[in-house]
Amino acid sequence: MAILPHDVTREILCRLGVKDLLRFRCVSKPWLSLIDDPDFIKLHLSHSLKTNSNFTLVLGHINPSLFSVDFYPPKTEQTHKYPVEESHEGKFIMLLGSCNGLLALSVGDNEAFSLWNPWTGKSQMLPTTGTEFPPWESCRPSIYLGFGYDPISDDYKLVRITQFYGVKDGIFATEVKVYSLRTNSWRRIKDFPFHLSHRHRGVLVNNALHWEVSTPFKLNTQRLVAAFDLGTEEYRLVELPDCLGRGLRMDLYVVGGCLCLVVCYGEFGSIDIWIMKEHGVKESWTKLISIKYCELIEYLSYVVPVAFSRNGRKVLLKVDCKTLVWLDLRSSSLEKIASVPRPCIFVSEMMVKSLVPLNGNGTTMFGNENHHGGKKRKRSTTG
Amino acid sequence: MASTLKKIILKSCDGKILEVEEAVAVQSQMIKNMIEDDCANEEIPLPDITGEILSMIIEYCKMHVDGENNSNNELIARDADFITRVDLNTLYYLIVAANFLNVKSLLDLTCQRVADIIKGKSPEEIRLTFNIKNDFTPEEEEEIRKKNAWAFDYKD
Repeated sequence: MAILPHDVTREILCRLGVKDLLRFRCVSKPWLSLIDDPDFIKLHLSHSLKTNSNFTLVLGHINPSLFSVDFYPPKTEQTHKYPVEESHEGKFIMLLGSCNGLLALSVGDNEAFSLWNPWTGKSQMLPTTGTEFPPWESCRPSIYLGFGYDPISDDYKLVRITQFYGVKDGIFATEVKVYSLRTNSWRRIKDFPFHLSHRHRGVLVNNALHWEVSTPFKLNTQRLVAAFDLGTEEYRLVELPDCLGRGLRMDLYVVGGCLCLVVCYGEFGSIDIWIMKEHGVKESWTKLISIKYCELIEYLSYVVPVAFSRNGRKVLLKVDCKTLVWLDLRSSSLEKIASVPRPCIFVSEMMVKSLVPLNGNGTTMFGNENHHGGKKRKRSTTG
Repeated sequence: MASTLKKIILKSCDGKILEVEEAVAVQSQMIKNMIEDDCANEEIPLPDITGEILSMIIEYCKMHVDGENNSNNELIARDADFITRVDLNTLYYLIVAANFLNVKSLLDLTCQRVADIIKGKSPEEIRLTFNIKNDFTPEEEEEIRKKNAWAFDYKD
């Protein structure tokens, strides 16, 4: 084949996976600069998102690694060692969220934060930031975090909400700080007007982070979901379906790019899974399915919807923090996936693989050599 | 429809003249623009496209116009049948022509086909396939390979 024009080469390469692209960086200097070009990385990402390709399921225990399982052929598993500095060795690492191929991590009870692209192996520790109001002795602060993309300033942001809430003393104080990858700095923004409840991690849908909230000092108030728009940095409430009733527990997730609500009616009763098909449109809430207690599921409140199958007829569920099952939406039948990589999966994150870079203002601590255990085997995932 | 019966005349670089129905020709955004600007009343010379490639492109466009009412799956199957018949060398000329004529769906199809062919290949195979000269020193190449060593562990 004769030499391809540059714009055609771009069109071809944006259809490849990250592994091929990383390998093809050493084809020639023009290919290297094409693949490393930020505009090409964006083109590749948007092609992956548009065609629903290059998605992977990231599963994790605590330390020291995550595993990614490719859903569609070639169905391989890969190990990614957490990028941790020596001083943080052995500390608890929590995944705060993922967006466009980047993962946000919390190291040791929110002592430090880092961003990581497990595919390019690049990672970056974030600068630390304190809280600006004096602590109350009578109550401990709660910290809520979320990570996502701001399309207005083309930036990645980590949001940290600190709240002091003491019902007895009538204390309610919040502080919201936003880290911007572009400037590699934190800044305080206007306060979050709601009380956040048990869910600590913001659910990213449509470039907005969602949390379950309530109005401070009101007992038995209705369940609310608040959204923080990463572009405008405004808060608003998201309307929920009318007929939820009084569930034992309500949890938010993202499945197939849509906000998903799981309402649990009793540990041995049933759960309802709802999907908001059109973001922000109350009428688009659709009940996907009700699941009754059965032997495949030990604890209904630990059912986490993860992804839809390619044809949309099945939804992948994580149950009891240890098993992945396909749920057929028409027949309601459950099909256990033969092998699950490790016991106790705390993390189950569907994410796109990308070459999205970190900006290098911070410390890039690691090269790529040791990040991939090279462990790879065919998996029996179906669907 | 009377308008669809209007013919557009295309001339390939090797002198082949092809008469094409307007509905088929406007699959090319470039020709569509020419028609809108009233520049398509005489034969349109296509200096870099041979008669053979031009016939293939017209076949493709015709297939899409005729298949407008078919299901999506049927069109995908026809596209697949069309593209798998094409060898790599012809594919190159098809891409360049689809790019020049701006036939978006054909450009997508051909680029995807090349991507499918080259995925999983080694850098050496890529250089051979596209006649690319390796302009790295061995040290430079080794450095890039080391940085993403996991990407080179790919042969099953």
